Amino acid sequence: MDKLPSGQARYPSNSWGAFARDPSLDVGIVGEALAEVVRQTWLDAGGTEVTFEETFPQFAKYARKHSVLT
Amino acid sequence: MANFGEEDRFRSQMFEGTNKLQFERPVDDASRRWWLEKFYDTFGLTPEDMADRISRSAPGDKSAVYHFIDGSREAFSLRVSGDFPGTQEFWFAHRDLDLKGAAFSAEGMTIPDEMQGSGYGRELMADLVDTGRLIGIDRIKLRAEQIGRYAWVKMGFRPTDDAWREMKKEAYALMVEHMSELRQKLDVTELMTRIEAGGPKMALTLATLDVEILSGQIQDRSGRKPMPFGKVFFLEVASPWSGVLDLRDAEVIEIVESYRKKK
Repeated sequence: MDKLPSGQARYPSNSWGAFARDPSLDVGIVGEALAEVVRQTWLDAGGTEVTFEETFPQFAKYARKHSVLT
Repeated sequence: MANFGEEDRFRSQMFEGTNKLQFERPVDDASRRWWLEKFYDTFGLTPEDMADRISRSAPGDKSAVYHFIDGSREAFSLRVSGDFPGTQEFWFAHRDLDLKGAAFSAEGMTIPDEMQGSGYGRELMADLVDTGRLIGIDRIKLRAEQIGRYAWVKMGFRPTDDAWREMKKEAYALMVEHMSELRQKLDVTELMTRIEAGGPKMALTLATLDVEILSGQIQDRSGRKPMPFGKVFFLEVASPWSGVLDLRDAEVIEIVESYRKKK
């Protein structure tokens, strides 16, 4: 394989489309809203808060919402 | 919306073709009455308005072709196309409405490669969501291909049960292939258990799994580039899948609205 200069990446023709030109490109829901949807799905599937945060550490920065009941 | 009378030019001429609007088959009287009742009297939508509304965000001139309007089946099929101003690139979106099934089909949408990544596809889909909600459609169906395999799951589409069974198998195979990388970061058994229990909604969970594995296609100077599992799976491994966006599901609408806010 040909070596590229440091810091450069090769994106051959592939199925990534626009993502190949910009791998960080994302679509749709992001941030806290995404964290909430994925968390709720995880909990609905029988997971726990602990295992959720272990599996999706990128969402840990979004603090869980707590309801103050008293 | 003005309440046009019987002599109104829209009523008499809305089913006549123009340079920008074509009907491949003549629209019979029953189908005209169906359209007037379902879309014009209630929402003020002529066929041209419908084509414009489902592509509201598209830039530049556009044209529409109705393949058919069939009142007996409560269905129509149209294709809207246009170009990007100042370029030689064009887009098109093919939309079928089956009102008896209360669904839009969004199979067939092309954004040229050079224009991808700018959000045009998502905006066209959001236009369809808006139109569907306006006229009381329950769901939008599509077949996700190429980068749509990843994009549409992030916009709230969920695979059908059949597609989900296939998607799970493919995802588990990729997990097994990259077990060593995954195990360093998470409990894979727990993850697979939750995916198994959670159903098609877990497609979004798969898409957001960001443990890095080696891409089979993306390379950097040192070889295969580490990329998030979710993207590698949907962009390199997952087969094209059939999916549904449930417009009655508040959580799904929240996802779509979140995307809008992102803009």
